[in-house]
Amino acid sequence: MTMTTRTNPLAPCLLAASLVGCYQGVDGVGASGASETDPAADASGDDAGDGPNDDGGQDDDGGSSDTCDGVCTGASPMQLLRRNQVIGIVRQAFGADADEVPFNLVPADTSSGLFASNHLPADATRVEAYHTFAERAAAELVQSIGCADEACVEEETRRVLPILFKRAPLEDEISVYLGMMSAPAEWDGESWTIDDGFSQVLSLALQSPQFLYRIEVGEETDDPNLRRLTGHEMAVRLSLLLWNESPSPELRALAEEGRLDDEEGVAQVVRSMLDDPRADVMALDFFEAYLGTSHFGDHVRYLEGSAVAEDYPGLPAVTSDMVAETEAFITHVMRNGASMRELFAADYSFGSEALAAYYDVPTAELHDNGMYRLELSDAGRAGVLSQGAVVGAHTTVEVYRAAHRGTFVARNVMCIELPPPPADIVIPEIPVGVPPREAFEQMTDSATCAGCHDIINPLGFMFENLDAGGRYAEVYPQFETPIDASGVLPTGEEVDGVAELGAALAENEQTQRCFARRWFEYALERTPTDRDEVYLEAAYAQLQASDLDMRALIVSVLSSEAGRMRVLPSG
Amino acid sequence: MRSGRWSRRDFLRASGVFSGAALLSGLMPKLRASAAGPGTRQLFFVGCSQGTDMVTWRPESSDLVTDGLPYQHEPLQDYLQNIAILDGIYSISAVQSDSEGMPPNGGHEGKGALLTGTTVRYAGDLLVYNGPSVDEIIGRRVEQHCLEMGEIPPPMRTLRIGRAKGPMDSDNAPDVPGSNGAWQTFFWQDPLVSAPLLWGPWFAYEALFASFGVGEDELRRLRTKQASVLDALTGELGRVRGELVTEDKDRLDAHLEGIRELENKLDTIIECTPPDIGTSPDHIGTWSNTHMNEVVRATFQVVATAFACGVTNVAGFDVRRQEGRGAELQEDPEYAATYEGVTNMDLHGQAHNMPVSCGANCGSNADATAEDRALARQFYADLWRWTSTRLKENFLDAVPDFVRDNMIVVHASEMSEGGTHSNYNVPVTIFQGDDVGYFETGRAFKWGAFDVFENFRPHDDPGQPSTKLLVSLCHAMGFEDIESVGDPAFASGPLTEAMA
Repeated sequence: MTMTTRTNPLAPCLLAASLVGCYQGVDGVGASGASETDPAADASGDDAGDGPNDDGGQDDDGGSSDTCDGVCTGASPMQLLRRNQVIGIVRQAFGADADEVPFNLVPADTSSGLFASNHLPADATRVEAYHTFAERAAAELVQSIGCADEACVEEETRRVLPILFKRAPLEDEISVYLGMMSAPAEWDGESWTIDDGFSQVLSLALQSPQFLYRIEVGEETDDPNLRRLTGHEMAVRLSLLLWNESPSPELRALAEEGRLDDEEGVAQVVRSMLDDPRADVMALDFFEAYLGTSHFGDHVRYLEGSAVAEDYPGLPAVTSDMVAETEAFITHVMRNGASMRELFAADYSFGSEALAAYYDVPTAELHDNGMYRLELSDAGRAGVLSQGAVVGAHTTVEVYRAAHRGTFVARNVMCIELPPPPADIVIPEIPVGVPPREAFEQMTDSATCAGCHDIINPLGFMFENLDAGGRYAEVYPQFETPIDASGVLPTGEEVDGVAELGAALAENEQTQRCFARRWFEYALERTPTDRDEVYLEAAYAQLQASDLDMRALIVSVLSSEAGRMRVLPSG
Repeated sequence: MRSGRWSRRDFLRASGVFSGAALLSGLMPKLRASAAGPGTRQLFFVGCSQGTDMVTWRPESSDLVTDGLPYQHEPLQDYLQNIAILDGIYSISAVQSDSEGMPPNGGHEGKGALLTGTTVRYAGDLLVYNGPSVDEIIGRRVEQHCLEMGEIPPPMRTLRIGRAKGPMDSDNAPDVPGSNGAWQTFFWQDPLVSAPLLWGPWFAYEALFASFGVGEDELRRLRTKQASVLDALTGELGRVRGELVTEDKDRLDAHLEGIRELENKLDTIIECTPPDIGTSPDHIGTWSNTHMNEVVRATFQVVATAFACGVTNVAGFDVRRQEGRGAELQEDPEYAATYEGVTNMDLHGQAHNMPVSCGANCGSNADATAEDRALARQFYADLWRWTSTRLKENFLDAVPDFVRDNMIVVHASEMSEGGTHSNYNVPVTIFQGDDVGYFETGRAFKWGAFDVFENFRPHDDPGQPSTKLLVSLCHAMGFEDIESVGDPAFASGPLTEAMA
């Protein structure tokens, strides 16, 4: 199996025509398929800001000014911590004492595009959920810590508040908390125990806004709507993002020394933090959303319960190995050069012997991550897109699998905005006795469907050698006809099979620009606006200049003005 | 009464949902009336086995205001505008059941068919349904919805209460998990598996509220603790707010509003203080319907409190067994005189006395006198009417307004006239709270064409299928994506004819 890419000279025309024609006949939907900030639109020659929906500089969040002189970046509202950050900080603060804390009660995140975020204000339901979590967590922690006297409670309070608050609390604030150790004035019980008081302290701390929010007041700048984050606020932002933790004493010290006050200082600290294994959680969190692997479990449950379950006899035994494969692979790539090229095109992976047998690939040495290195050179696989958990997360019944896989690549990986199917669409019957690719082509060849499916289908068909269980085949087993996995990327490159797809995407400008955009969205927890184009461009340039080093991209985003500034939402 | 073997804490811990000091928040009433929908409404199914006297159950017309409520519904007069009488529901899955030895009509087996929407079948020697019943479906969806919203689900998915005090008082047929066959229970947990019932209201009380035993004082102390934290939190929010840029203050204000709602909930927690339901009689036979008066009163009180406390959003109770051996209504002073001296109040036997002109259905009671038949009819009419009274006094009047306004009660039987054992035109009465707004209330609906004495035969015009009612109940509870309940081959979609 060779991996080559060929260029189709008509590609830009295809992309532009496809997007404009997406689901023709639905008023307005097709034209909005490519937004004014869509890299796909840029690739087709549409300059940002010239589009019909361009608002002349005002975005939905409000913005700093109509023009973009000086520092320009999209607005960022004050946000609640992500769920993983709440959990991470509680674990950081309480260590093993947090083992019995019911973290399942931490409310789920809302989302901002692909990624978890909490960009909406907390409503009553969410506040109640935090309250309930705090009450229950406090009850468990009090039992685990087991303070016998007030001195212990005070010591614990003084120890954990700086972690929960993400800063050193003032003595007045500590006093308020210590005051909770006493029975309320209205208390009419016979006794008030140390545990009663301690649980009050912890319950208050765990639902305090100083714990639940990332508060960024910043320093004033010449622009009244623009704030520059203080060194301490920068430390919080970095620590939450990269480690799901409150800033360590060392990081706070760096902030105190002014090492987080400028681009180079931030860049240096971010590089250092990315070298720390604690950054693994950030990478896994990003890629889970980027690759959509959280859907994999649903897919497996569906398959196991479906009428075709017997067609995938080995799958249940290796599903957890598939999840472990992707996690180990991402961790390995990020720790070893962080090459985007390797991410998409590596000729190896990691897994158990059972997974190797399931994939029908040879194993090499046992890696220090406890898994075997799987050799993929001659297996028709390469990179993360060919892994079982990724393919499986975007798979449904055989005929429709191309749609899910193609949509995933188009949306997540290439940032092509696809509108949902028209509400009144009549899905054609699945042709009987026809191989999946041919059947799906027949089902989507109408003018109504073609607009989007001219993009989706070729991308999806490139995965065609991988069945719903993630196994590679060159012949459709039920039809005994050869599988055609060839297609053309929206940007024109001709590709045959998922291995070539990975290699092609890694070198594809639109994919790289999209990758930069995704990291921006994830790191700053918001959707970039026109004003962020300069930072997206810089991040992309950095990715290229570093020979596709993903960590250089992360450093670029976080150390940029966008990463170090905050535009107030209603400015 | 409070020396129960299973404390409330143990019970909820066993459910995996309870932990220590969170007692109060776990029991907070669902006050989100402004956002009524999935997870906020409550459903109580009250079953009455063996049908009723359909002559005095059926309304004259759809205009209840002009006609007045029929005899059996009269006790609900205060709630007339909340009532919908569905006169013309047929249990589609029961009439299509064809169990061995049975006509194409489920008869008593219609109990499971009514709420599961599936036909009866054999599992070994046991007649079963391909459930779950609609209460279970809704309970699961409430649970799922709460988890998706990041909320704690109600501690109990469904609260189903049987009649017996415990397994030793059960006349060899205890209301315990797995013991109920098709003709014994409305409630089904899964296909082939009947739902577990708590052993009567006194046991349910112990299980749910035992730790309230010291009761109100303990509750108030818990409230004081949580209020103290929320008060401190409000102060802290105020301090933090002062440090924020103007643009962030709105977000904190929204958070503060959430805290205030929470405080209001704490203020209403007293609503779920459990009532004194009295002590359990020494012996309650599940087959005999003895102590029905006390059992029903206590059960309604327990469910009312459970709803107020947010213990569950779905409850079910079967008022009586069809095989009763006792003189049930003699226990109630209002009816005692009517039935004084009547010694053989066998419900099942009385039902077969019901037909005015006996015909083929009279069976062993073919020799019943006109007086027997008249008494039997009166007896069944009074049973339903008595239940309506209990429903009003011990449940509808007992729950707090915010519960009543967001609640649906379904009072129904698996058959219409007990004497015909027919699953056509089964009686269904619905109470709907003011804020639900799903069913059109204050009226009756009349569908189909019936002769109450002959309606066991297949009909050309049977009215509305029960499976549509089941779907409507799901929709009324906020789960509008549910398109069918039970066997999808039966009618699907909601009962649009009864929607507001």
